[in-house]
Amino acid sequence: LDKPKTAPGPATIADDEIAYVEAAIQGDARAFAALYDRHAERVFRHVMYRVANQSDAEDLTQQVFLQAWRAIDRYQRTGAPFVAWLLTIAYHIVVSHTRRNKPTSTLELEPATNERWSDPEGETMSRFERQAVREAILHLKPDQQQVIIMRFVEHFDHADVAAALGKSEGYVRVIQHRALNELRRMLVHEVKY
Amino acid sequence: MAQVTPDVLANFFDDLENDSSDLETYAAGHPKMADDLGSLVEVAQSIAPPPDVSLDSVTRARMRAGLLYQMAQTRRPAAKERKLSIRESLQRLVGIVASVERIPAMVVAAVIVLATSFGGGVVFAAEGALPGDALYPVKLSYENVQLVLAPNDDAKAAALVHLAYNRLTDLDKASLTGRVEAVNVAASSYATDVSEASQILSKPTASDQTVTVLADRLEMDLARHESTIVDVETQQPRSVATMALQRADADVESALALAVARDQNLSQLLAATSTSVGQPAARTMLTAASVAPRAVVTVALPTPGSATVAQTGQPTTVAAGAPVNGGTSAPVAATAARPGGTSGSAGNPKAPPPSGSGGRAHDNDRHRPAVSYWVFHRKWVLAVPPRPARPVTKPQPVSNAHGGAAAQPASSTANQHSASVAATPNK
Repeated sequence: LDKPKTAPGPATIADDEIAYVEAAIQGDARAFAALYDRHAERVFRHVMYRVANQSDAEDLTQQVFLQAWRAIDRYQRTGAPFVAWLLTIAYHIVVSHTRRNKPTSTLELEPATNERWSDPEGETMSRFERQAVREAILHLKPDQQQVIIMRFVEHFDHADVAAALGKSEGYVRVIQHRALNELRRMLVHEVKY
Repeated sequence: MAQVTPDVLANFFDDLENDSSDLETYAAGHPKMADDLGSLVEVAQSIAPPPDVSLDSVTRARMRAGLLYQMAQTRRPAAKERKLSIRESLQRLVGIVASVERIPAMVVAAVIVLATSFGGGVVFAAEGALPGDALYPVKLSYENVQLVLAPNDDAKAAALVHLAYNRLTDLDKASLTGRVEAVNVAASSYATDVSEASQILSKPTASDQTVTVLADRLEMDLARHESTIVDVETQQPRSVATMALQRADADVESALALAVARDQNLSQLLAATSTSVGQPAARTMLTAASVAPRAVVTVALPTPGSATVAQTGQPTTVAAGAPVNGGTSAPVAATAARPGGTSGSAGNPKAPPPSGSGGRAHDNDRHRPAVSYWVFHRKWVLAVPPRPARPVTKPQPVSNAHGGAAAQPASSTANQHSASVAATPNK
């Protein structure tokens, strides 16, 4: 295994984004719309990863931003990047959605190739295997699932994940360790769900 | 092979992301953990990014427009605005009256207290109180009367579920007015009520009907307050309120799991009872609440001594096994019910129309439970109907619009059951 090929580093808040957030906190809908334009795609993809249903993902993305608009005046308390905060809201909304709606037909998602790590074997990783990994992640405990997705799907560093979740970095490290162990167990033993 | 520790693993990922190390170097520094570390890193590498899907421009524009519209309709909570407590309000009132009328403040205060003490004034005044307000204990004491008067565990569980709903309402108000301490207290009280209710529901003595109905009710209440709960959990992730809400969430999940098991029991019981009176296997309507969000389905047990819990002001019986849209068919109770029963319930015009092929039809006056606890305007009322002596009648099969045969109720059949649907009161 080699070191990462493209490590994007921690997500940062662009200067103009801070201005947009400040304006949105003051009730400026146009500023919030600009934030929507910037992050809608990413939130949508994140939700799609979890629910794998286009229609549901669109609705839930809408709910995420509406919830964010209602609560944006308290955003700065977390200190997390704005998009990490949005994804935390998305997590809660998707959990709530999946609890009330049993999964029906879902799309066969084709996850993008992992460009974060140099992974020669990954090039040949079958679609089936990627799907199996995704399924396994979605069957982790909620806290483990959230940390794994924020860390290895959304690529936030430990500090940002901790800030977004309102937990300590130590907590994130421990959950990450447990989650990877559990994932390994499920993948090695080919656990059926 | 030694297990890699969380810190070693996290430090390795940090170094890897900062391009300051690689696995070989790291493994050399931790030879005993090398195998485990390599294995976990391999798992991490197998995690692919989100699917490469995107919103097309039309969908994106539609979603944006919809969001802006909803934002315009959404009331932003005034976080800085703090509601005056009852005590502060009274102090202010006393001050105003005393200054205007030049009357000693103590006298004014005494008059106000006396005026509000009689005729339920204090209770009325306390209705909107939140944790931290002077009258909040009065409100809780008044509500707890319902709990104290509950004659059995089923009724007690129902009262606790009702109290839990009240605490969610408090949570809503406290969250909107930015009263963090009140949010914590309301959430903790909610969790306590839910916990106690779920403990009762987990007892073997709790009836199938009670478990199913109340678990469904807890779930519906959670759903109705979803935005507030998400708000609290997002904004105060480590607060007392969030932890309490997570505990309550787990308790509701447990109750729902119980309900699923009990629902199967009840389905079998209904099917058996229906068959015994010559009706096709009845379909339990206990899951109808998920189809019609404003409806709570209850099953009333006419068996003497049993208790049924309903959440409504206008109970309406519903026949299981009867056609959904069979407007021309005679509505038939799911199983045995008393013909010409004395129930005064009128059909509820606000009840949502049945959907799907659940096989339901309204039957307003065919059933009256032996003992039931109804909620009228949020108050539990014990209703014990008279028990008229009626002759035993054999069930009469009745054809419905779908050609299925249903049975006319027989008054004396043992284990009489009927599913009833009642619209929940508007909150």
